[in-house]
Amino acid sequence: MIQLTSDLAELEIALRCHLEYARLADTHTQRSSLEDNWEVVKGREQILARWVAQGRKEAAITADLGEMLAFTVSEGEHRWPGHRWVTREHGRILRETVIEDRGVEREAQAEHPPLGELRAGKGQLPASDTAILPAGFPEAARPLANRLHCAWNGRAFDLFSADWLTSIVTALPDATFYFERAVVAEDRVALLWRVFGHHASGRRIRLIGSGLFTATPAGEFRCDEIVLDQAAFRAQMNKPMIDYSKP
Amino acid sequence: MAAIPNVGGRDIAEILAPQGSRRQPMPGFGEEYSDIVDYILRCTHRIWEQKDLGLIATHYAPDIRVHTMTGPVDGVGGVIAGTARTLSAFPDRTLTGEVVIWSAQSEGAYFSSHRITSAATNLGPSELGPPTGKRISFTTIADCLCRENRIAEEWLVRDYSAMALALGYRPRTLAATQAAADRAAGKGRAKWRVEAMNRVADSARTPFPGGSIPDPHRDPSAFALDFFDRVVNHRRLAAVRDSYCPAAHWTGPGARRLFGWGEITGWFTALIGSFGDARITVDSTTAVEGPGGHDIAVRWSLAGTHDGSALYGAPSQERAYILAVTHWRVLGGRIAEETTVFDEVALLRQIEGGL
Repeated sequence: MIQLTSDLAELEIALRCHLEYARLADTHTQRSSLEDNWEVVKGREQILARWVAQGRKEAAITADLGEMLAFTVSEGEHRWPGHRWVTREHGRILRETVIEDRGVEREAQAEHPPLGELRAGKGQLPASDTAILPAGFPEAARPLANRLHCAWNGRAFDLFSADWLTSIVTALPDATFYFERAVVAEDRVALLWRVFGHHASGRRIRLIGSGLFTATPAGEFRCDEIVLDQAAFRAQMNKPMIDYSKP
Repeated sequence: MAAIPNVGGRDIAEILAPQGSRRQPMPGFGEEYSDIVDYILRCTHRIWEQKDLGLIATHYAPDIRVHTMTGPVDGVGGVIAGTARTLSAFPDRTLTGEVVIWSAQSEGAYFSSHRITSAATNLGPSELGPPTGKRISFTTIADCLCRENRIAEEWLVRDYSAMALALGYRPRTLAATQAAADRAAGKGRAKWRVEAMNRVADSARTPFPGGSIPDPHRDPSAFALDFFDRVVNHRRLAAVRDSYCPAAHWTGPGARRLFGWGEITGWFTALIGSFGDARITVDSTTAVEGPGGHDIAVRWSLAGTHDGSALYGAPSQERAYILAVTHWRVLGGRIAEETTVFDEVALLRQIEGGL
């Protein structure tokens, strides 16, 4: 366990272990939103209700990058990893993205039929050497994002090999990875990304993933942890589709 | 003139605390309001959350016209009755202001585009059906022209299909029932809708847009006009990649959520794939500067023939009309977040031969 250094880390423990839900009145804006692989919760009161429903758990912070946390949660013998990303507004949390590999399946919410393609405007062209990154993406994280783009979108699995990656690309042959955000803290880089792809069930699978990496003296990056919600992956294969075509 | 604080960076207690003296000229407005953002947020709280419906009489013009996708509502009496009906169905509705995008108009008037996230429990019969007991969340945008403490004209868009889906109803079924009632009442295509569709269809054609898209920070209005004309009227969908952040988040009717260039391009493709002769007019643009960027509000109208099955089922060949408001959050010259709201139940009702 690491020493709690950020207010976010302290909040995680206060909410999970000590049920200090009243803190949300000071830590979140009234229009906060929380997104995970199952739903988007809008509003501080709704986020609070979600915390209450989760109940008390044991938790430990495993990495604290200020605006991004890695943690483990325990309930009896069951233990799982999670990452939390926050965006603040004048110090209060405005938006949270949470990825937990809890392994508990729920029914996925009905979704509209998918729209559009995954590789926008690329046609038959292969993946380029550099990732398309949003404005404000930290310079220090760009080499890592570009390398992972080559490995994941370019399928250069010699650059990055992992069972989860093989599983995803096997299940979703057109899996496309999008890099959304990065946080850099000393020698560590956290990456928030999404992967979309089409499954044989006919469903478009949309997953949020998060990774933690450490820069090595050789100028490379070592992958410390990837968190993907595998239960959400499975649940999406059977999710109901919204149908406007007939009464 | 003092800076006008928006919703961002302030918690609700701070927003609703007395704001002190006037921050901008507001001739004829109540002394309790310090600026137009305060007016919009505070009167919404007083009327809807404090249930002071009588204040509608002092905050809406007697001859107000509220434009919606089911037709205009004329007169303050209709506003009060509609508010009472909605609160009967959703008594604990809270209205969280996400942003108020505003601009000063002539003679002390203001225009505002107020995006609201509502949370509410459906405890009474609603226009969608009998009470379900379900707690739901939905988005509304109210565009208001405000003068001398009164809303003189309003354009109201609400995500009814998201409400219907969250309550467990099928939007198409609701629309079919409403359209059948329209037909049984002998109502033809409503005059207001014919006029609205003709206005859009007959709007002036623009030259093929060949240059670059205007900078959204420098000229938000020119950006909005160019973007919709280029993408919808001229079908230049590739402009999505020039206008949006590659990791843009998009929320639309039916609480659809899209991410990135490919899916957002897919939305415009499907819209045109549903209404092959679609034409769009941008009816209003407003922008305010926010943390690190701009918030832009665009109200638009689309008219087209339902001749494709991309979004709304088998082609009906019905002419259709959409009244929508889009809010963009623009960062670093690109759209990073979008919320577009229109009433898909009303659109499906048109497709089913109603309205």
